[in-house]
Amino acid sequence: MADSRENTTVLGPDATFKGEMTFEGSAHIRGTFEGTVTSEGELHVDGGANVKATVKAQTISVDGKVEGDLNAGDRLELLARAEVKGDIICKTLVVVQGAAFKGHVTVGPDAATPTRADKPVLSAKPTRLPRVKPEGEWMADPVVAAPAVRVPEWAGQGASTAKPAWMTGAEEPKSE
Amino acid sequence: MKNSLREVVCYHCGTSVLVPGSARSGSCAQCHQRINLDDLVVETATTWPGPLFTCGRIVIRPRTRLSTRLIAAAEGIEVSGKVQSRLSCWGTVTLQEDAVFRGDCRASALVVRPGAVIEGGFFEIVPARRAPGMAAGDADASPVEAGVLA
Repeated sequence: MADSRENTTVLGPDATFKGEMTFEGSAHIRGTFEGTVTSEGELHVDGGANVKATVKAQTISVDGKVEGDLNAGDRLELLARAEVKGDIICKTLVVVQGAAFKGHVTVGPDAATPTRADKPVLSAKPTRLPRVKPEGEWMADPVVAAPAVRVPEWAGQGASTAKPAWMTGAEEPKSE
Repeated sequence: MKNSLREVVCYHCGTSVLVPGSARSGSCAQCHQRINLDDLVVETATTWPGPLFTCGRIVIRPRTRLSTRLIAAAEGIEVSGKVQSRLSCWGTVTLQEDAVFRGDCRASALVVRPGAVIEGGFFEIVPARRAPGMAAGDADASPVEAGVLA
């Protein structure tokens, strides 16, 4: 029979850890921890522990001091000696008589997902690109800017777009 | 027949006051302000413009929709239904299974039944006799004086 404590990580009461901790299964923090905890398992902050961290786990149980945001995918328990300063997001919150906390609380079935950090960051003011007309639209626009010039009739008389013969190299009819 | 006495906490100044057990209102011996002693039960959907104050308990029944500025009770607040307000209490705030609460909360103890929904307010749960470091003195302050009305 497998030992249930086989996958348990323990940070002892005389230990200090700074950094990012990731684990599967469960972990007990009994000492001092500073940083980030990310897990799909259970985190227990035991009595006497001092944690300054952003914690994200499936189940979180706090009986010590925690300063930082707690995000529990399922259940968050604040036990009698818990002192929490930070925001709480969880599906189920259990507060035992004697627990103390200050922070914003979001509890409910839809609360745990997604976390604030996971949300895409939208810029406050979207950049507005200049409007571009679809191709060909500008061609269909009537030309209104060009002034209508009235060409006198005499100017157009005899005018021809055909090039003179000397330009084309054709023989000119001889005049007598 | 001798009337029994009841000890209540004035929600203006935080002083313990002895009042007759059957009294429904009184005045504080310390600050001389009028205090409500009744337990309040809210059963209808309503928007209440003013605050709800009492030295007793405030119970918000299931299927109630209540929106008000402040709910302050010395002994306890029990929330069912949908409530949008600030809660201030020396006792225990209980959010029942069908409670949907939006707002801030300040109390000595909090009970959240499974199924209750809290929509992101600021919570300050400080046990009445807490060791220094978690603003123990604040827990003894009057909910009115503590700035919840500001």
